[in-house]
Amino acid sequence: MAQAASAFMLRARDLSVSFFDHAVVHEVNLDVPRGGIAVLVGRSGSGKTTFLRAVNRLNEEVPGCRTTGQVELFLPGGSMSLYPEKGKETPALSVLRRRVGMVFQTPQVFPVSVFRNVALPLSVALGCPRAELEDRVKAALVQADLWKEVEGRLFMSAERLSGGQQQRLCLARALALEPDMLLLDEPTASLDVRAARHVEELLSSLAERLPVLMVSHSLGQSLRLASFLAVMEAGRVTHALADVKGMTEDDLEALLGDTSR
Amino acid sequence: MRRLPFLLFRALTAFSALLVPAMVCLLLGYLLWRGLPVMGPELLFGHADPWKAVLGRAPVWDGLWPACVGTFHLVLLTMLLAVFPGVGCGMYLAEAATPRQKRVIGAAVDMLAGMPSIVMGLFGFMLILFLRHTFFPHANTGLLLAACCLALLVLPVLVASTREAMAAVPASLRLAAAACGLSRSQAMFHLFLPAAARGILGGVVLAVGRAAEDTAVILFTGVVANAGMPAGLLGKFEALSFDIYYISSQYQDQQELLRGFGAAALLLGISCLLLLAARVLENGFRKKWQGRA
Repeated sequence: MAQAASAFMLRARDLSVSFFDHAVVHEVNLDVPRGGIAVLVGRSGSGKTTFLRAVNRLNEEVPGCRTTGQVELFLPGGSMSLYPEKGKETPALSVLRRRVGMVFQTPQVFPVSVFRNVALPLSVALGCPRAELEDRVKAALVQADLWKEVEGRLFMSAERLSGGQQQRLCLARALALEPDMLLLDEPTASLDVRAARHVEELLSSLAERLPVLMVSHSLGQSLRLASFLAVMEAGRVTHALADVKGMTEDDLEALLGDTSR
Repeated sequence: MRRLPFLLFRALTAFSALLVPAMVCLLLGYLLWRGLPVMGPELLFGHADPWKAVLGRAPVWDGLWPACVGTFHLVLLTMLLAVFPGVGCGMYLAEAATPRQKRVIGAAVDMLAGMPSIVMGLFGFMLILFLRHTFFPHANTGLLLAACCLALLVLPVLVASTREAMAAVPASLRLAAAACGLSRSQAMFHLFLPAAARGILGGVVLAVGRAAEDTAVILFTGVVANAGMPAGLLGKFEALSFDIYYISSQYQDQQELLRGFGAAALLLGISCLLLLAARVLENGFRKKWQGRA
């Protein structure tokens, strides 16, 4: 396949992000290899989420944001540079966000029915014809391992689902758009242990065919899932590990840096 | 001893909290006590046959039916004129306006909100005088002019409620919508507007109430005590709010005063009906849009 042409999932060059002149990410240079789940860890406020949101340019939806530097994504059909630069074309925001799906820390279901949660972006952002909607919604819910649970309740308000189900619905919503990459912002942080494990298993199986970049709070989860691990501290990437085999949580804890910060 | 001011404060707040419902009960009770006994077909239709009157086959001379119809037409026309610009302006202010636009337009809306309704009525009247002396010598006050002035009066209510409802759409929903590749206007139309619908509808109900009760505006712009059924957009009309004012200032015997109370109770009933209609509309809409609860 063409996508195997590059060994990387993404490369960030001198990436800095600031909000109202308060720098959150400082000149990050990071090469993330393709294959498996790449995990970003770090303490609260280390800039992980902001870095993640620079990959689908979601920071720009927040007032006062300024981004410099460049992020290059290697997706099927060639690489693309996300930020304006001389001589390079940038993809339209809506196209970029459709190709790079995102799941948030707390489940962000739309206040509509289960079906419409998945169908709305499909029909509105992708222009999917009505006749195909039902099949594609079902396929996405099956992929997110949610279909059996909501089959008979498709037209119920999505807000009535449990937390774990809501998060899988968000995953289904992202998957329905057939993205070329997934960004996950602590996708299991607000779930109980069992629901979290369920989502983790799902992510491991998804990562076999889709590049996944994930921010994680949990060191245990990072070690379980990561095939590549980057540690962030105070807006900088301090360590990038291509192999975490044999590492323990204590080893990782030591890498996170000064706890007093 | 230090607890005493605190206890006093608590007692005062509790008293204030009770005061409002007590006043409402007092008001409603008095209105219904005086108004209900005269309520009946005769209050509405006088000596005319009710069915014929409703179908427009018989004129109503001494009933409130024409005023009811007049108020209904007036409110409907006002809302037709005001809802789109009001909601549109509120949405623009909440979603698309630059800080400078927000300041300028916001100030204009505030100014309009502070305008006494009598001034709005006078403005409509002057407009007709101006038109008479210039382009349309035959221009006269009527239903359309009154509705236009009322629309101006209720516009700020609609703008403010829409703006607040849109501002209350959580930032997380905005991010989630953007992350799905929805453009701003797509997200606004398909997600934020329905999410804010409840607040916007609340504003519409308030505006309807305001349009139904206002007397000062229509006083100058085309209401007449005995106009009969509204004759058209440019014709004179009757309205319940004006009838109440008229009866209470001109009544000659106790019976006539009671009719005034009847009219007031009727207006209250119509307002409640409108409120109920809005609720039903909202619930139906929510079921269709949000899925079953």
